[in-house]
Amino acid sequence: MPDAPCAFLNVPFDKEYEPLFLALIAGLSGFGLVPKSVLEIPGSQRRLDRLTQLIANCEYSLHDISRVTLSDRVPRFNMPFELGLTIGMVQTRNLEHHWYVLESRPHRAQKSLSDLNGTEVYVHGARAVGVLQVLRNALGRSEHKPEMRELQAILRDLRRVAREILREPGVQTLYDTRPFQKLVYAANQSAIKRIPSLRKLTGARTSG
Amino acid sequence: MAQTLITTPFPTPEQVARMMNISPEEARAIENMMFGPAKPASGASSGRKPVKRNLPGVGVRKSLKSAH
Repeated sequence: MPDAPCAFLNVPFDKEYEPLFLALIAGLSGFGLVPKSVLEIPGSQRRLDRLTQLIANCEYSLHDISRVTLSDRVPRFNMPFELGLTIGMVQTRNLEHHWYVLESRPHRAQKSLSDLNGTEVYVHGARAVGVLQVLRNALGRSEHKPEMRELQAILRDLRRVAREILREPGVQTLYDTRPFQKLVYAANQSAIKRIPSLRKLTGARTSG
Repeated sequence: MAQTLITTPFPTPEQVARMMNISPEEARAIENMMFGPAKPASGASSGRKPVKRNLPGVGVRKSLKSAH
């Protein structure tokens, strides 16, 4: 198991989703969770094995099923598949794992995935601020509880880092191993700076 | 709406750097991207003193009496 609580991100890896992707990393980091993605596990291991291992190692997972529409005339099955995989693992392995379903439009999941009826679906409206609100509705902290403005400040910092990362030689996308790892580290640093009660953590800068 | 309460300790930068394979050099570069270069520790000198500019006529306010 990893040495800090992790949240697995099951999201579409496309350019239009980038603002929401950054909001998820920023928001989860503001709640003291370390975002994890299949992006960060390179290697020859079978993708399905990597996925199941990653999900099992995380205490939380977020599944955005807002982009199950056609891509190049082919439906995108990955998000609902990984959601099903997670629910299956939780139920059969008795995992201590919380999973959340995200959508951009209200009531659509009732049609696209009616098996989930009765399950809470969090609607973000395809907006970064909507993602932060969803996280605030789904997650809580008794200690170091982040305010909305603090999560937004983390997101602003992360956007700055994302722009810099995309300027680095050879980097084409944020949906790659090193860019993702750098974003996660940046979001944690920013959270420590932006959430005042966290500033006593070792190694944190307190200026500014 | 049920809310999941997270009670685990907040991860430290060292923990996250380890989990994300971030070297100390990369960590510094990322911090600079967000917050600019680190300020020197209190008491330490950066080796450069601020330049004091005394431009003629700027910031000098003559009293009404002396102007006559």
